[in-house]
Amino acid sequence: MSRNEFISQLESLLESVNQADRNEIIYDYLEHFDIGLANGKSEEELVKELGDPKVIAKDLLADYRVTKAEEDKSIGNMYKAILATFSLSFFNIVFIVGPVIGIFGAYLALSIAAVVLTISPLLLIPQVIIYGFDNIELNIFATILLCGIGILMSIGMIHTGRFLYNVTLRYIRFNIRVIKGGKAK
Amino acid sequence: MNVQFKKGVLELCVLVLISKKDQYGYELAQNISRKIEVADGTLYPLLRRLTKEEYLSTYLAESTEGPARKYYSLTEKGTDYMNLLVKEWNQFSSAVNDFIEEVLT
Repeated sequence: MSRNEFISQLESLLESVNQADRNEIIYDYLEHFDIGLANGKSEEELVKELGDPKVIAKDLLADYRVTKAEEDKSIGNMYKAILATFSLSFFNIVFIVGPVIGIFGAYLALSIAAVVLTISPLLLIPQVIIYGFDNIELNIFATILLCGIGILMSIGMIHTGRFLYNVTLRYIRFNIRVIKGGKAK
Repeated sequence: MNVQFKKGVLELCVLVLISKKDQYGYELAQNISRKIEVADGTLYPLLRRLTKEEYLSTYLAESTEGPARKYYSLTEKGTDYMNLLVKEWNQFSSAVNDFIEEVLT
């Protein structure tokens, strides 16, 4: 067997190894031939000394597969992390987004109502302009009452807002923890 | 000689030889096959594994004749590992020698 036959046989046996690793492996044998030939050995002699390419390839492949299996573990981890993220986002979309939109919608509506009630005494101005001072006492009392309710509601809404903000924050932290936890496993 | 037995010992020989002086693959093959009958080709997978496990490091150096050569040198981790293997080898070989002496002399 010649040098070229040895190299091409080894190359085809290492077909399943990725290009970069294979080149590195082949390089070592090419160097071996170059130095051996420079030292006055024949190709035949060197091939004989190197031994069966099948045995060499078996050795290299066993090692290569172990390394790959180790890498696969991290790919598996990543897959797990992606799955965790995805299933969590599915859960988020189906079970969380609906209620959250509902709650925030109601919160927004109540907040607007609170603001409107609070500024309701201002409605007295167009009332006076259009209808004059008829029933003004009743209207003043009514708007003062509504304004009071609006102020109380506003205070309530501020507290509710803080609560919702904290719950949302906590829920986001929970998401991050689940995703990270999946990755670390 | 038994193949598996030789494989285990070969690793120790490679580390010891490289600890004496940095060598390139061909040189190492010559030094080993001078005393132990071994297929030179199996040396490279071994060197590759030892390098990957960080027992050996490699560097390219120009030579006066021919192309650049890939030299192997022993790392600190490799030295520790070699010392461990030498200790194990000494215990093992002296035990084997004891058996042989007891029985055959």
